[in-house]
Amino acid sequence: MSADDFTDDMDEIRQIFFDECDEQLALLEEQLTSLTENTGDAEKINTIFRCVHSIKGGAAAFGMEDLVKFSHLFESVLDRFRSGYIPVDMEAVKTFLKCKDTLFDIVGAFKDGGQSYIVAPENVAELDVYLNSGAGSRSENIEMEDVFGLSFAPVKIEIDPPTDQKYSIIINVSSQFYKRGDDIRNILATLSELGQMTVDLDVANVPLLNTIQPDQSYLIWKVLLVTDIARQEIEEVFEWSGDDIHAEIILLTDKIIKTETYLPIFDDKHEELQIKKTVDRKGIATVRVDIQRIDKLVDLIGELVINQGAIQSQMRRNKISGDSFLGNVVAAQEQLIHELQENVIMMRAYPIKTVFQKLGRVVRETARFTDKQVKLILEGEDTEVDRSILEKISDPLTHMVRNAIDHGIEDSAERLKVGKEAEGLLRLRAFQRSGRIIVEIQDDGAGLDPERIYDKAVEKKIIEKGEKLDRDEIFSLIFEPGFSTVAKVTDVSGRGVGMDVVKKSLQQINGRIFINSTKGKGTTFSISLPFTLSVIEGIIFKAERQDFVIPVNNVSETVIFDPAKAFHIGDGKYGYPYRDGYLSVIYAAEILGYRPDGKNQKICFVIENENEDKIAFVVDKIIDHSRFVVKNLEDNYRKIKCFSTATILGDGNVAFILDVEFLFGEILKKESPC
Amino acid sequence: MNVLVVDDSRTMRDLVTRELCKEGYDVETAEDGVDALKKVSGFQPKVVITDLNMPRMDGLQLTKALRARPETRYIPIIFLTTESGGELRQAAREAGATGWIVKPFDGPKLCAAVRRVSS
Repeated sequence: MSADDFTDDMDEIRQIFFDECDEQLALLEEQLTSLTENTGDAEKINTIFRCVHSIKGGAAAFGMEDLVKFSHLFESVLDRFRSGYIPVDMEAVKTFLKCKDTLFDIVGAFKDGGQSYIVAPENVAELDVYLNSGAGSRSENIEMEDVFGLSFAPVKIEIDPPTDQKYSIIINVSSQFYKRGDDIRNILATLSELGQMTVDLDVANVPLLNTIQPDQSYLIWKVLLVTDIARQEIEEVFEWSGDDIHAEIILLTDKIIKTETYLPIFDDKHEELQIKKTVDRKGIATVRVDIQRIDKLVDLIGELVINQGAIQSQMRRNKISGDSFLGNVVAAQEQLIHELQENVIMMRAYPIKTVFQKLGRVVRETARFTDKQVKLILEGEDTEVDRSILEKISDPLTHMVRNAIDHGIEDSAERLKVGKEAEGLLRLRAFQRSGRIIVEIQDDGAGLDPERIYDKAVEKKIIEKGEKLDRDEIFSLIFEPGFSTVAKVTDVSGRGVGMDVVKKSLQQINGRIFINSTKGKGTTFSISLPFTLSVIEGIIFKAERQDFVIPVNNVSETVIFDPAKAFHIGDGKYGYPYRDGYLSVIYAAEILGYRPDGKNQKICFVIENENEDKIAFVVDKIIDHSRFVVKNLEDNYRKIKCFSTATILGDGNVAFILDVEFLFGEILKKESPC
Repeated sequence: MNVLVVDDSRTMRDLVTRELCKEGYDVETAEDGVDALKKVSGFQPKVVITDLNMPRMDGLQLTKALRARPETRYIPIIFLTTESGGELRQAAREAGATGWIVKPFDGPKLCAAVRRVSS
């Protein structure tokens, strides 16, 4: 490695440090919140202490002084709780949470390239109170603070002009010295580096062989050292070994400079150290891997899937039976690749905890701003979601949580009046349902008022007065651009970002949002998200001699299309009988800009969206059913309205993946009165 | 020469590893005492650098455990910690620690210390 490599990896380690800070802060929050229910758990306090301690250690290594200072103060306070000087109560937990937030801010400031961060004085004052209260003296802490150096290395101040001095050093060691794995030769070697040295070994104390104690040390070394360095540095050589070594350093041109007393340590009772209760951390071994490497793996497996497709399509072309030896091997391989792909994608998964815990802070802050009491309940924090999704849901969720507290949950007085607990409840829940991740944000607040929303929508000219809408349709009006139920913009949620932005950003990651609300009882927002954005299961179909892919999730049924049964219902719209009713028809050819001739269209997909709306989507032919690695079109090409993504087929051709939500949009457009 | 670095903070492990690698040491890392004990027999370090405060098994317990094993009884153990309190230092010394360095550490000094205990 060259020197350059080391400067490069310093940045990397700095990045690792910030990652680690995030982890430690998340753990800190987790432990702190659990403290509220089970106060005085020593092991928890210990873990909390260790988190702060770790951050301090790393911060010091990177010279982030303000982070060191604050974490040190926090740590000192925690230490007093840890030692049992002060009992843990809710007030203390609140202070700790605030400190955690401050740490978060400081880390953030440095992460963003800042060089310093001024901690709010009241935050420091609050901690100072703990430092001074309770049993136990504070002197110890003051000493710690003084001793703790912030600079990288102690600055040496030379007072005397460096001139060669002659020292006599007489060294005695205890048997303990050797028991610690040290060796006098090391000390002598270090001394010899300081200047010109001669050594005499004094064996006068060695007893006769029959009385010798093999584990005792009888030797004395007499060193003559000529050097220009300060005596402090000579002392430092011995400082290391503490009481196990006795060194008498005499400046020969002067008098005795230093003598250290040799205290034999034979007291075995002293060795009885307290063994702390320890908690096994799940016992799962983990390896850290750069996310880019995993992404590379995902890409490579994607190529593998494409190759697999190529083999299979070649087999079909050559009429090789799936029952043949080759057919079986290829089928087995397909299964293996499928598993490989799933496993690699799981590697990219993170527990949703990372996002939830951030929301804990949002809840506290919002509650403080709005002067409401809110209890946050987190469920399913361990639900794993692909990293790409996690990154995108943080902002919408933050906004929704703010909204829920600001607009949903009533203030304590109001709540008591309607017979609810003074403290509002906000529940965040994540779980898996049929291959998708569901995140629910549930509050027990006032609930949505359909009449108010309706009036507001009329006022904002989103709908016409008198328009007939059912409850769900009214609720979904809040996702319309320019809609806000609160007249005045509050500090908290009215920041120009509306629910329309939330919905749009969720749609971008193929997510859907639903509302369930009862006036007076509360509101639940459910967000349905795909597990990953990088792979979909889909059906390849042909329309106008081109291949397309439709996500299989959206296809609820496939039926043979009989053109004779399709009937014109006016305005260029067609209906198709389905069960007891009929479905609106969309021809694949039509959205491609062709006029369907009614001859080639043989297959009809019944497509269903999250709202259980159905449409009939008519195509020419089904080709295959497979898993596809999704490539973003916008990144590589540009946005196309009905296809947000594409994939590469087995034959190497690119096929567009149909955006089902767009189809429903098309239907709505057709149905709207204009 | 093999050096085992024990610290629960990855940042610290990486920083120490980086300094030691610069000097040409072979470095293995462990995240706490339990992990370290698992790794010593295979890796056979010539020097152990350990943090004091770690989950599951701290530096003091690790030191005592290493001192209790015949094959690691005389292995030099350097504490690398933010603690500078005299009592802990004394406790470490009694447990059998060879040296004590206070974080933040200085690269060349750390290497000098490793050199010193391992020559």
